[in-house]
Amino acid sequence: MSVEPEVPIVQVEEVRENPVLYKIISSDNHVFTISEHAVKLSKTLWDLITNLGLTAENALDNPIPVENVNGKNMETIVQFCERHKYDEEEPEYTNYIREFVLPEWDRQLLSIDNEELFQLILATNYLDIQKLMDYCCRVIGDMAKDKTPEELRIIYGIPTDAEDDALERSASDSPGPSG
Amino acid sequence: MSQVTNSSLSVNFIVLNIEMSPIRLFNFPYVVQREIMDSMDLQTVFLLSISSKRMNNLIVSVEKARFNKIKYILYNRFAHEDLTLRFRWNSTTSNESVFVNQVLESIQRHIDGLIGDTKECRLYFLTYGREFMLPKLRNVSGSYVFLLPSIDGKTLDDYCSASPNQDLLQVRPEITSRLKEDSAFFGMKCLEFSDPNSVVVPELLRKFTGRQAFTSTANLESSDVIKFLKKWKSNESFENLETLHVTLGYGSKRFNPAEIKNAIDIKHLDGSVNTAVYSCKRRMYSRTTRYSNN
Repeated sequence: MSVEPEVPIVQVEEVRENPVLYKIISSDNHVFTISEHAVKLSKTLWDLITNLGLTAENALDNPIPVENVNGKNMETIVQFCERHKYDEEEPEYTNYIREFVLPEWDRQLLSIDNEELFQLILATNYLDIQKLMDYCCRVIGDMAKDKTPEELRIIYGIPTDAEDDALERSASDSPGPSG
Repeated sequence: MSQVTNSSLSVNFIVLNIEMSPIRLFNFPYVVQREIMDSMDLQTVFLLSISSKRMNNLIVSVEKARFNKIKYILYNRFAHEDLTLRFRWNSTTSNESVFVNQVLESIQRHIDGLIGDTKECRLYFLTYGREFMLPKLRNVSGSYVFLLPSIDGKTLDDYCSASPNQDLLQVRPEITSRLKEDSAFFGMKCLEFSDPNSVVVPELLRKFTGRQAFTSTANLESSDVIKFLKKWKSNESFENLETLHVTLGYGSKRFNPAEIKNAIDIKHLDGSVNTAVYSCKRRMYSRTTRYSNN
């Protein structure tokens, strides 16, 4: 009977995983843990970490408060960043056309109602996560496909010219702070 | 207009969205608005621009850099290029189609306000029926006109006068009446048309100021050919001319080549004489040549 040599089993994920973790506190005091590779997708957070001088040793002891993002959105953002932390950097797009296919996993993640999507985009914009911004905007842009201007007005909450005029008139008629 | 959708589907969609709160584009920060617009194709941005004046103004502001990159505006049935704003009229009833010229002209007026009035346009106009009118579009650099069963001289004159000096004009239907004396048709850089009634080719041999013309006709008088060749040889006219290709139809009256040779004093040179050779790129090679953008 032959004895197989003992070969250590090393999972690829373990090798690639960076042990440095950071803590983030949302505006409603939910605490999230995020890996270094994932947090780098957010330019705002990474700049903050760099400026605060957080290191592997003190990262978990110094949670980062993010007062502009609530727990629900932060959860989505952390999921997204962890999912895409090893993605290759995408080349700068040219000609103002973003040719990419929205992956099914991300489409599911972003299958939320419009108000939630709106808040998520504001959070994404604040945290400066370009890839998530691209994906969110693609979801919003896709809503316009094959629609008439009238339908677009409903989808995007665009007031008619008459409504805009009325709003402008009422704004100009109303007394100012001193009136 | 662009992408007419199925009406029953549209109604369902509106009901669905009334139940769901809209995602208000105007409430996003400017930088996000630009990201969203950039994720849309130009056709969608155009449709969005006609949803309201305020939205139109926003798009003009947000998409300025992108609009500057537009190569040309194509009024076309088929197009596959990216930086092209294209419109496809795909109406379902003939009543709608009658007004296609007015719709296209309105679209051009709207585009003037959206991206400026200096963009090059191209027209691919294919339709059937006598009641259709050609749109009077400006800045057209190339046209393919397939207006069956025929087109009269005045309609063609009016179209050409709105956009003279086009790089390429192809007219597929037969032209049924003469063009006016100073028609801009004769000033197009490259022409391709058929003239079975021989109402245009004789005039072309007197007035053409473009570079290349490819046509077929039923009859051609020797005297017309002789006058044309004499003017060309003497540099009196046709200084831009590179290629003129006239195909005579079957059964047409044949002129006598010897008469023409004698009249313009054609000399035969033997092979020992080195003659100057001029070459030019032909836009067409046959009547079946496809629309070329070169």
